Amino acid sequence: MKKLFILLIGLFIGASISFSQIGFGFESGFRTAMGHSKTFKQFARSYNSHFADDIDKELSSSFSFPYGWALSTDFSISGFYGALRFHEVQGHNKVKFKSGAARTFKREQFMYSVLAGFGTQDSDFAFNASVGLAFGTDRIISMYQYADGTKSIGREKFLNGVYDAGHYAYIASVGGAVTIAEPFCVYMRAEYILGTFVGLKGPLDDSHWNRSLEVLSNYPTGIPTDVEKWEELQGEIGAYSSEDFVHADWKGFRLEIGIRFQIN
Amino acid sequence: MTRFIFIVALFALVLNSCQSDRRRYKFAGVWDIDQVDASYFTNGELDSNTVTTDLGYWLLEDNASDIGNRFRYIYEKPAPQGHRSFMTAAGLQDTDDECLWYVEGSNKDRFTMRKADPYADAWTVYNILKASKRKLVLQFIIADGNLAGHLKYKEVITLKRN
Repeated sequence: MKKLFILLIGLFIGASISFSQIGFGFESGFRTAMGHSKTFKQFARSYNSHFADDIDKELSSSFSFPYGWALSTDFSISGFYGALRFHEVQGHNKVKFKSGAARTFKREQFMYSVLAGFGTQDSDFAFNASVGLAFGTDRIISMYQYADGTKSIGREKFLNGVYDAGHYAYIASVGGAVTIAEPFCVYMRAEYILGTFVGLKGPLDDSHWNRSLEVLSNYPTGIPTDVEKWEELQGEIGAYSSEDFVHADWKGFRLEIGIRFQIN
Repeated sequence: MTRFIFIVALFALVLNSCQSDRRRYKFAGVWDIDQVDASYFTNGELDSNTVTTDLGYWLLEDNASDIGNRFRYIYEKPAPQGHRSFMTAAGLQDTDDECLWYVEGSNKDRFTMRKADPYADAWTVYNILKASKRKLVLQFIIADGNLAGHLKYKEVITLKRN
């Protein structure tokens, strides 16, 4: 956090030196995220190892080409830049079994972010660099697909469910735009999740299974990072801590390209 | 910083509550059980199939709860397997006093019947195949194994708003 504030103050100082423009912008674009989750990677490795004899195509440690869309509004006054952004991204992952069945994991992310930093724009271009906070929800829908194509997230299968958790992170963002026909521009943006607030986010959890107090006290309700341990110890009170489950700990680059409407 | 995060979390909670209300409104009401399509499988292969029509009614009350809305029913023919499984697991007789229903997920994930007793490990989960104002299609599954087990029983219930 200290580094974040120092960076923010630096951007404020830089912004106040030489710019005196006022501008507003609205962006809408296609977004892709190339993040990775340390805990999901642990789960995938453990899952592939534990069920190796039954698996035809292994579960990947990352979600293939997550994509989605983003909307944002921003302003710049004398070089100071502020923005409010929203994005939605989804990605898929699949493990195939020799029986013809499969398990699919669909990951969804809904995030708001509030950014501040340095920015400038005129009739030909726009540029901004900022840091800020992002908050929202990460969700994994784990669905079993039987050999005949029937899909289910019912309770008849281990891991079936809808697992979600709050996601609170701090991010850095750099964007640039070139005017194509005033006031419309093409913009590109790169964002990087610098870190997450560990104390605020629990593991991805299927709250459905928590509806029964008995189950809540006896069974883990997340995606285990160690499948073997889960199989051996399920039902044992106190056998797990939150560290034993997949968290919303995605980090990494996100890229965005789209159309910017700006008022100078 | 803590205050800011608290306000953000509160905002998210309010938004989430609104979503739950909309889901409940959509599902609550009296539904005719138009059709129950039951398929039986052996080693994953379809063995037999029966279709029963005009089975009775489901009344999904809206008690303004995400987890505790009263589930009532009238069957004019034998109850569908999914409901019977729930009644057996819950140790219930042919009464609706102890049945609750709720819906979770992003509007179309799961429809659940559960026992009112919060300490009871008794519930049945249906996949929601279709959910509109007039029509609801639910799917109940039994498998013959946990990991790569085959399909054993599949029940698709089509409900139409009364």
